[in-house]
Amino acid sequence: MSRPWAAAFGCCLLVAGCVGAARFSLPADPGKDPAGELALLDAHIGKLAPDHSDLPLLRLERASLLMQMARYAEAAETLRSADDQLEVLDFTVNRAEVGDYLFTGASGFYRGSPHEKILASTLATWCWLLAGDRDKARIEGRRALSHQDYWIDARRKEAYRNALARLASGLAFEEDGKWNDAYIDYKSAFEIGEGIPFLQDPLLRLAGRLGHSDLAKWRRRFGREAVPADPAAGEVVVLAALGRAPVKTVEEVELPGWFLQNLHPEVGPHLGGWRLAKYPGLQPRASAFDRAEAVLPDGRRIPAVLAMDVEGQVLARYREERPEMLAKLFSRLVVRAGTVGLVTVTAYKEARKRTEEGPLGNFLRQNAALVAGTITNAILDAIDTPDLRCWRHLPKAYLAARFPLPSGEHRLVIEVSGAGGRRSMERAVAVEAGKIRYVYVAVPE
Amino acid sequence: MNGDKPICVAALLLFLGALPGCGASVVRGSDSPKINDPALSVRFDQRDVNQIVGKMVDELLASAFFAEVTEGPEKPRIAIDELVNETDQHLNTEEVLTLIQGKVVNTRKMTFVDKAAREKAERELGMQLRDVVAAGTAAQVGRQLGFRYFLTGKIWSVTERLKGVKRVQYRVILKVLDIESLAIEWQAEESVTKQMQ
Repeated sequence: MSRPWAAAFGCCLLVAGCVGAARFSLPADPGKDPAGELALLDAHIGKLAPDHSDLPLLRLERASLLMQMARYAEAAETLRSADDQLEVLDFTVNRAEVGDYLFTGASGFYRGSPHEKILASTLATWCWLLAGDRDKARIEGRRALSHQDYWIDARRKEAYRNALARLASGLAFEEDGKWNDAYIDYKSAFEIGEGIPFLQDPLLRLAGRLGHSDLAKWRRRFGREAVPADPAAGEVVVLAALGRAPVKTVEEVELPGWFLQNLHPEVGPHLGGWRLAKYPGLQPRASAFDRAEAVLPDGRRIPAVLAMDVEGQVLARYREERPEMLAKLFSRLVVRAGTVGLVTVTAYKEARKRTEEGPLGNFLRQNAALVAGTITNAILDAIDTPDLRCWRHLPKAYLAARFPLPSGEHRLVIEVSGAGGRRSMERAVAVEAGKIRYVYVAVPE
Repeated sequence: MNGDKPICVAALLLFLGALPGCGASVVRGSDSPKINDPALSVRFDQRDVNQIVGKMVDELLASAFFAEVTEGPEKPRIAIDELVNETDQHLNTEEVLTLIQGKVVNTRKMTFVDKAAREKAERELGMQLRDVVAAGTAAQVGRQLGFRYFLTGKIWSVTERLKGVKRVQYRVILKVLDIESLAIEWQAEESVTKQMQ
């Protein structure tokens, strides 16, 4: 092999060696039939080895479907195993890892974002609350907060403060009579959630009970005392999961015109429109509903407030990471452009040695160069498969409401509304005096 | 060719020697006491608890209050209330008071009312110590509960951030109240500062 060919081949190997093949194991797009999707997913998971690279992600998807189907304990267990397996990829801290985000890593093992790690245990906490297991809810709540504290303290990222985790943890503590711990979580959720209104009464009540120095501050801020709890009533907490979080999509970068112009006067102009690299972008998904209300048996309507803007957090993270990603992509583009250019020009020169001057010779040289360049580009294109795996069933936003109801059996209506009109869902709830009952609705469209 | 052998053997030995270094290293605190020394975060950790408790107990035992109430033939009876956690993190505040209780009990100069027994008595009376104090019926209830003093306190934290530096200052205040007069008989303050850059 001549020296230029060896160099070109070496470049191909260099680029190829950086990546592995992408694996897209999800059996279906999110749809309206969670039971059907779950069956497909379970059948798919059943075929995989226990250490398969996609399992953490598939378990997160499975848990989302189980939650939709009100199989909360199973969902919590699934989230636990997903969390145990899920490794986090944060290349703003470890820059060497950015390649694993752009293209499927050498091992192909799915690595989630810090948000996913925090959300796995946050949702597990909610699942245990929904399943009525306070002890397990408290354990998962602690885990969610320790994940969160880690990312906030060790990685200096306040963006990982999560009102949904604090709210769930506070509820678990309150139900367990741990007033001080419940107060800490509610206060934090209130601050993160920019004043979640239904936390006003718990904050006033608990601060008073603890003799906390914040009591005067809350009284001033809310302009009132706590509404005395009715000893014959219980409370209901509604959690509504609406829409879908953004998904990863393919973004493309083409060979720049200046590069083609300067590559070779005869071959360069014929290479226009060649795709040079693909990388994962982020595409928000339209949501039919963005508001939720609980309609009480007496006709009162209690609006649910935003407890976690998943889409906002995911997009903010993407914006934060994009410069790092593009810098890495640029270095890859340089190698790829160099490889394609080298192969094309080398092919042209080799063809010139073997052909005579004249129209036919020119035609053969150009086409030999084009074929060689096209093949090289196609190989590199196939190798550089962007990693598009993501938690597709993750909701766009979580909304929550909390209100008292007299003890007894009730039929609650949860109404969601937005661009898709209105939709009502009825849920039966057995309220017990002094206890909190939980209702979950998921509207993924 | 023979000349290459020593190099290969040396490389192999070097490789094998480096292998143990690749695995995770696990040590026991009793074997390496210094592993407890470094602060790994700005959170209130075990060493902070030990430091606070040690200083607080020393102050209590050296106080005029302690000398005064323990000079009589009858040991004063004291109950532990709650260390209200006004920080923004979950702390095992009960541990702080329990450690103080343990160290004071071992002087054999004070008797601590068992927490479970106190809570049982409170349940029977239908109120908690905090409500008792607020309601002004403390003297009567104190007699019924069988103690004269109670130990209570608060822990606060102030967090500040500037240019990538995070500093948390913790302040603990403990006090002993006379349940009959609600007078503060003893009070001590300790603080711990932690910083992360």
